[in-house]
Amino acid sequence: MLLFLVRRIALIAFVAVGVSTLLFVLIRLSGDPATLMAPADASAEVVEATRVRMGLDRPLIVQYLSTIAAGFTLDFGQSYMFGLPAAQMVFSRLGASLWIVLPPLLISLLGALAIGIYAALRPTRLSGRALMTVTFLFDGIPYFWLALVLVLIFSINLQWLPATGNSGFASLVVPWVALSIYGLATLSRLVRGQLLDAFTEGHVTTARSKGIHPARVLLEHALPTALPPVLAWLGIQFSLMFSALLILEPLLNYNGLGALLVGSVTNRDFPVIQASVFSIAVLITLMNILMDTVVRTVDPRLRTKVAQ
Amino acid sequence: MSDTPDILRLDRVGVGLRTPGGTADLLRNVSFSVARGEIVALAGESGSGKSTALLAVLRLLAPGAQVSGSILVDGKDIAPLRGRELRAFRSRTARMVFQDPWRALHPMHSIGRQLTESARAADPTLSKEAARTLAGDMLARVGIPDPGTRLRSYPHEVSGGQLQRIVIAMALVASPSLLLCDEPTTALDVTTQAQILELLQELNRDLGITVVLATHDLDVIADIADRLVVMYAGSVAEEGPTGQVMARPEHPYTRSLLQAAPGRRPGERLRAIAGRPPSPLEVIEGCPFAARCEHRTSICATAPNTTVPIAGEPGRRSACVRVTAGTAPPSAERRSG
Repeated sequence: MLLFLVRRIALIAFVAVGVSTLLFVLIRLSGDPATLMAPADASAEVVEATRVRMGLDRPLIVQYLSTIAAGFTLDFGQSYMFGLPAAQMVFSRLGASLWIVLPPLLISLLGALAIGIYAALRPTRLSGRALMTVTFLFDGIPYFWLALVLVLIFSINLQWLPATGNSGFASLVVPWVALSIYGLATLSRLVRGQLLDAFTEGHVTTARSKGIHPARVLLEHALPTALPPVLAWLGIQFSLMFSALLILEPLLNYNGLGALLVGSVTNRDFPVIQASVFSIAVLITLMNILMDTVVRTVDPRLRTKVAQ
Repeated sequence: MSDTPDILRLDRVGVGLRTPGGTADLLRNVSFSVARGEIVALAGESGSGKSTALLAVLRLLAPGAQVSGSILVDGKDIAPLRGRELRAFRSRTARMVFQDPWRALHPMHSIGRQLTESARAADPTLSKEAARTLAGDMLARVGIPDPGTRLRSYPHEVSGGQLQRIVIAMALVASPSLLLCDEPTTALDVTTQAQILELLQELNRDLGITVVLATHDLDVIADIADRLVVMYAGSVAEEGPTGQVMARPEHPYTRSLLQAAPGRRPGERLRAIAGRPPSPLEVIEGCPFAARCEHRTSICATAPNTTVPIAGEPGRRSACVRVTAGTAPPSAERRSG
């Protein structure tokens, strides 16, 4: 277990360095920040002064190393636009974004288990198939379109919910529903497929041949071997939902990390871009490590492999 | 043998499975019986229906399989069993040992958990501690060294031969009267095979458990089976005491099968059976083996696909009409084979 944790922490460090490097290159490729930051009619002296102020006059290697170091010290510098520390701006928005993403993630997991189990127990019957058709349709609905339709119906026509903003629980309903349906689409079909495979596995037949109650065969024998790929997908779904925030938050005028990132890209606010992308990357890595750890604790085969 | 009641009796059992290509007849008119305390081998090639027959006894066939005829276990028809009754039957009366012990055990549950679950399924009044003690005793009984440690192991930490012993122990904790073994040695290496067969024989002798063994391996049959049921294309070709059937087969298919087995008589050339068995999707009129049989005559096309007793040979039955109708004296045919 110790070796496992050491490896995972090394993975986070690797991701941190990789993301910082990528950001460094991409920001340099997008043009000279000093020219962009200085007023359009600024003289060469002013641009040069801006360059010095931003630390862009230093050798490239020094700039690169300070970018990498920023990831470890969490000091990404001051926002060009707001003059606040970039890290502080990002962390103050992080909670709001997690509050949009985590509940739908949980709802899609539980919903997918319910739908997937129901459909897997009735693979040939109309009810099971109809349910799968519905989830297939879910997969074809873009979450941002769904969010707009929900706003149109519940906020504008019925006036039950606020259309935009950060007015607590009510303003979260639309993104929650949109993201839950987004997550349910893939997860429920994955649960069903994995379970149908598990039903044909030898140890499930053994359990039935022992005279075990069907509910226990399902929960204790079929489900545990069906779950690991589902949990792995949950980690991926988390990153997909987080990317969805880049569209949903500006769309619904919600003050989260997604809106902050989109805004800072528009404003070329490089320290904030760097801090946001870095935090999101680390967060997604942490989520995947968490799923990995859960799978390892339920599957003894994986524990032995690492120990060897 | 006839004074003890049969523990298992299959009477004209058919199993059909609807597929996109039509109905697949996995079993066609299968009848045979097993007396209490016997070791009976179901012999035949893959696809001959021996595994299907075992699964049908435990009602473990794929959902949608249509079963005709009757299967009696301990004199009771198993077809109407539902819910709790079916689970009680599976957990106490008849237990299955599968071909591949790696696939048969739950990869995420400890061996102790799987054995205690098995014991408590058969006897719900058993406490967890008592079930665990029983599980340890049974592991020792099937020859697992250090059972206490093994109970805490997971299947992937144990060798194949030991795993198959564990699977057998998992059946024994329920003290079943019938042990159904589906190719129990096929997945194991040769030395381990012999040990597992010895164990089955020992359990049969010491505990009086009736063993029904599906296998394609004639050496296995010769070693331990009291009686032999030869299956072909989902039907029974012939049935009788192992020694007699192997020495004097009363069905052309049995004879071909014996000749196709390597290493029976040194120096003899291996003779493959020409052609291939009919597919379960084919509709068979008369004898299923007729198309490949070198002794085929006109009456084979109308032969009833069922075994009948052979006159003058007690305990033996054959489905070959030429044998049972007496048109070909068995002795003459034997030489021509």
